[in-house]
Amino acid sequence: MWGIGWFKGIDLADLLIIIILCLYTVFWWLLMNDLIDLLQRQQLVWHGDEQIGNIERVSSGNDELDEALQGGLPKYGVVDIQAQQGIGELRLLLPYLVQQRKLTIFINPPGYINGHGLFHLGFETALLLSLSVDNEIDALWAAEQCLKSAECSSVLLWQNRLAIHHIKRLQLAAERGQASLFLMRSAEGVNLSLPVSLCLKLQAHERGLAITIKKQKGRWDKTHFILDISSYWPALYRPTIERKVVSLAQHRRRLIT
Amino acid sequence: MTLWVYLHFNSLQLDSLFCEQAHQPIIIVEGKDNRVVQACTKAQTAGITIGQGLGAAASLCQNLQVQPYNKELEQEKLKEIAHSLYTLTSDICFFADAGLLLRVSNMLSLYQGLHAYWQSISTLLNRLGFNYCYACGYSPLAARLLARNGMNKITDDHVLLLRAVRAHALHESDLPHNMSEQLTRVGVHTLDALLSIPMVQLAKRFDAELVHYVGRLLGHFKHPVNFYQPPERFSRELELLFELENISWLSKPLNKLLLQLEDFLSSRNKIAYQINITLQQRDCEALVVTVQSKEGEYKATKWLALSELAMSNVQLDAPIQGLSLQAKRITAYENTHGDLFSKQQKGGSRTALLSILQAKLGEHAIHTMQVHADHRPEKANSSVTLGAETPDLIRDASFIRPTIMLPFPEILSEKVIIQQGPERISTGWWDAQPIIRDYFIARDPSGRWLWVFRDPTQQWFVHGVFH
Repeated sequence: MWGIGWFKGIDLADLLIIIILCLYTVFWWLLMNDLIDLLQRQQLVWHGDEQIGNIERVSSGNDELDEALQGGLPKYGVVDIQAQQGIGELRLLLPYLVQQRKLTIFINPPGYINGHGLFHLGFETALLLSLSVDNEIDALWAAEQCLKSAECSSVLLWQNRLAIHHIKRLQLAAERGQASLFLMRSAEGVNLSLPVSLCLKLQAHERGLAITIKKQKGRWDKTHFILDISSYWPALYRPTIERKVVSLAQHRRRLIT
Repeated sequence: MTLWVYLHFNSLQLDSLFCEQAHQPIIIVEGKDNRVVQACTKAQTAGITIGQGLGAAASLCQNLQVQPYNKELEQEKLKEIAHSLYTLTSDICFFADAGLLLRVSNMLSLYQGLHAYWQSISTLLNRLGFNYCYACGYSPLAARLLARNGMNKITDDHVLLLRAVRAHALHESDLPHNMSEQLTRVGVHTLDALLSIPMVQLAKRFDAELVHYVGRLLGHFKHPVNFYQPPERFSRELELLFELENISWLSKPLNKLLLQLEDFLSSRNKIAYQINITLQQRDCEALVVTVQSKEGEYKATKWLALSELAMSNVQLDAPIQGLSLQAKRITAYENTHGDLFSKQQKGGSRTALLSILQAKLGEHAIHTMQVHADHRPEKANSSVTLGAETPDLIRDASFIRPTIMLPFPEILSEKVIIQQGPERISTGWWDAQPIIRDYFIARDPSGRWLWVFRDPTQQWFVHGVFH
């Protein structure tokens, strides 16, 4: 009964206001929904929980590194390797490169690639190709051509100066040809973050290499770890021997104290 | 009797200029007596006629462009035309003043009729883009006479052709001037009048040369001709009317030559591995651009893409006045792709990639690695431009060698800590390049792994880096 009474208590004007308010709310709700949809479609808004989780990964040939990278190197894309030259940065990739059955191209290496050494490590030397290019633009051009030809599995490019639009272009070429590009850059003077799939910073360490994963597509965490040389280059590994030999003078000094 | 077709190219040099965008009237002038020998349509509408003096022509038209007549160029062009025609008709013969004679009779059974034969010939000629006059005849001289006077009709009607020959005046024929003068004096003005005189009478009253001419004109006497045999090589020239300063504008004229190359190659089922593009520069030496295709190619589009890459590296010293194209290393095309789904095609695209890289970066930029059975580091590796093979050696993983070698050993200038070694390499006594070296693996203070060696004089060198 009170329902009717309550209903009778409000007059027509109130009812109108209530209806208008309801309509207004519904209208805004619909509008906002549309707006968010629109923004999402234009990729102007994205959710933090949306992860690009299913990036295909392949083993780098080193279990410890695979574990740190949570699966291995990206199957194709651009990998930025920042390291001082000569600390074993290329050696880290060799187990991965030796598995490839398509061309591996070295562009502007600092010296000439030692085919003899690579042959004894198991490489098919007929699949290795080295390009020496005079200027940086041509080197980028060559890298793009190789990547998108679908004939190369990996391209290694030694070049320090790169812009974001270069990387985007190379990334597209790599995806098209399903190939990987490794940028071998020196660690100094690199502060611009490039839109690469993976960025590793390598530093020489007395036990091997100190590796920092600066950026990895689909992951948040930054990892820093030390890779022991025995795991990636057992031939160079030499167990540290405890220094048992001391000079006579030192021995005497020790005795005095 | 044998039927012949004569083609007369009346403006061969003019048509062979690359003047698609020409806005000015052009004439070709004979150097000796300064007479106009060829004039373009624009010049002709301005009132210039063939045979006019240069002065008269220049006074008729103010922005006239004049080119000297070049007989060698015309001969060269005529050869090119004959070369193209050879794919359609077998017997071709050159005649003076830019003329080609084709023997038709023995081609008719192939083409099943004169009409079909002429259709294919004229299609080709129109594609080449030269102006020409043509006519049939039952003797080479008759065909030549009719074509040079612009009959432009193809027929095998004997009576009609004879009537057409008879209609011409004596001075229009090939008779020497003094002879036609002689005939005119006795009242013979046209060929009709000449041919009505019986042969016996002619022989009695005039010399043997005239009898000979009449006999050959009517086809009673044999006219000796040398038929053309095409060479198995491709070389074409193109003269540019305008000087080009920007090399990227060369694509269009070059494409014209490449299309001819495609015709040449595809009709012979051949492919070329290399083309040489010669760019004639004003007052400078000609520039030769070599373009290579690893897998061999005949298509103009593919060659054009490669040529554009190769030419993008070229620096011009002076504007280009002309270009020529030669095909090198022509071989028979072998279909190596087994079937549609086989993996052979992949190898094709690998060589295509190498061709592209080579065209842009040059042959010296690409190195493959050839490994040799030698302990000397300098001899164990060699860089061949292309075509390295995986050697037939035993792989030994215990070899510790740097990944990147220095081009030449450098003197070790910093303090290093020896990590491993020595490994003595003492060999090479047999070829007068002996080495005695103790190799060590060392680490420098910044953490780099170096491959260093000590020679017998106790000097230390860096030879490679373990990247």
